[in-house]
Amino acid sequence: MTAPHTDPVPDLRRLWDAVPGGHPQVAAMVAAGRRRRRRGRAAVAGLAAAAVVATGGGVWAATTGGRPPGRDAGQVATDPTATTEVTVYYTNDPGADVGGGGFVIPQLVPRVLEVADTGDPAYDALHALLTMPPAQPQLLTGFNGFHDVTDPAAAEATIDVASVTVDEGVITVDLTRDPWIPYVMRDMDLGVSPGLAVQQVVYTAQDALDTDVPVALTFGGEPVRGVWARRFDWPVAADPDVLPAGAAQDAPRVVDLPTSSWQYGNPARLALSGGTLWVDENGCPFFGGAEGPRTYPIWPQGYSATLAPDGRLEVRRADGLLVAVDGDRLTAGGGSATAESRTGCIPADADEVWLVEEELPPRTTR
Amino acid sequence: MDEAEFADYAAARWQSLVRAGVFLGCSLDEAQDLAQTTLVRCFAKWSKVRRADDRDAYVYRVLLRCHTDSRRRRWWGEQPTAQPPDRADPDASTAVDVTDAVHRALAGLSDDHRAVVVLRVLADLSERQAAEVLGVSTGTVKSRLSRALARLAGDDAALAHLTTANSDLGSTR
Repeated sequence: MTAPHTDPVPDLRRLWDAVPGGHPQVAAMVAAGRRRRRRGRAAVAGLAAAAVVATGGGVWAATTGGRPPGRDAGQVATDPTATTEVTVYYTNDPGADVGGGGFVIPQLVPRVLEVADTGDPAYDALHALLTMPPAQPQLLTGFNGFHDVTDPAAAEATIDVASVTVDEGVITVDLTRDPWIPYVMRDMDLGVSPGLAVQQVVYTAQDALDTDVPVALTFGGEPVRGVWARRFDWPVAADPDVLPAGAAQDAPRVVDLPTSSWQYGNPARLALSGGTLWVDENGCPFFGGAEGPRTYPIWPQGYSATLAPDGRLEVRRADGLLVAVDGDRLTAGGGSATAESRTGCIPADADEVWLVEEELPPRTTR
Repeated sequence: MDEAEFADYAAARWQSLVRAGVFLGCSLDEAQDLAQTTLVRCFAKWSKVRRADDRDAYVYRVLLRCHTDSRRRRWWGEQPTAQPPDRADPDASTAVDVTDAVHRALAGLSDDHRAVVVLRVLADLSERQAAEVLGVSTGTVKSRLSRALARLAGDDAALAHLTTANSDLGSTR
């Protein structure tokens, strides 16, 4: 008969020693740590810029045409292949069909994008806002998609950022074109209002520079009269009513979703594949489980996806309707793809790639 | 250099961090993910870790925070790296048995009691370090540890699991 046990510590210690920990994958952890550091770089650069403004006492030019002052005079050159993450404030489309007879309240919608890193976070973020079309069709950028009926040569002109400067408590964004266009014709009657378009710039610039100072728009160094046909008194402060509470902290990042040229109506293969939709360590969706083989879908043309900081994945069709979130069990018609077909975020060592050749139904109808 | 220093630290503490995860209630795979997530976060803020008065206390605090977070998320919400860690023990069933025995034995302990047992008895942190990790006074550490061990000592089922598991371990060696 075993003697009564009163001290559990020796047995606990023996079990502790018996747990096989394996070996740490140091190189992989260092790589993941570097990625994590890079994610914070834009915010850190913004903080550094704000610190220079605070301590400099005078005028400090955050950028000149996207190039920080003095870079040519011996500052560290930026790696042309480097990328950085910026938060861009799109707006939702007030004309979007949200189903059930509902309507969309025009507000800003932050999205985290990976963009070319010029070393100037404010320029990078505003350049992305003004020149990169949103990955999701229900999102809009207010400054583009217009025609000036008085100037046919300027049809479908774009407005980009020329420079961003921070001067005595004002962020000055110099544009490449005067946005005062009283006879503007927008592509959509229900396009972004001038006020919301300006707020897109205000929030995007403030986020990049990690400051809350107001923003003035200029063209050729002179304050612009307004945007489209609406006058503004510069500088303009951030309007808290246009941003849903907590949106900035919860900004989802846009997934580099692999897509093909297949679209509804094209000939389609009928083989089926599927499983539970997961997201891998790089934010790329796949069918499979926590362990075992992974099948990476290549989605139809126009599909897009976002990944929220809490890990929630949303995949949308070209028409903006939600078709899947992480954890959904999906079956998709199509066929296997060759290794050369890998695109988007699919890793080079993916077990299997599946070309989805089926228009997936909206999630609400399944 | 950050990376060399981190590599040395990770290699030295990996086993303890994985074991801590198992004793906190994770499966072995989850514990390895937890250790990995903890170390990735620490590497990303390595300069802060270096400046910490007590590096181990800082890292265990991150581990406990990651553990709490991971219970609210799914596994992929963490920061797993490209490949799962190698397992030293090729006999996975032994690892599962040990993990299962640990979980059964500690099933009657609250999260706070588990944490203090892990930090003080198993990871060999001092009272002051454990207090820093848990954000409580050293007196609270003492009283929690005392109650946790008393509870284990008075739990016949827990003691039976510990004894059986250790006997099994002895017979497989």
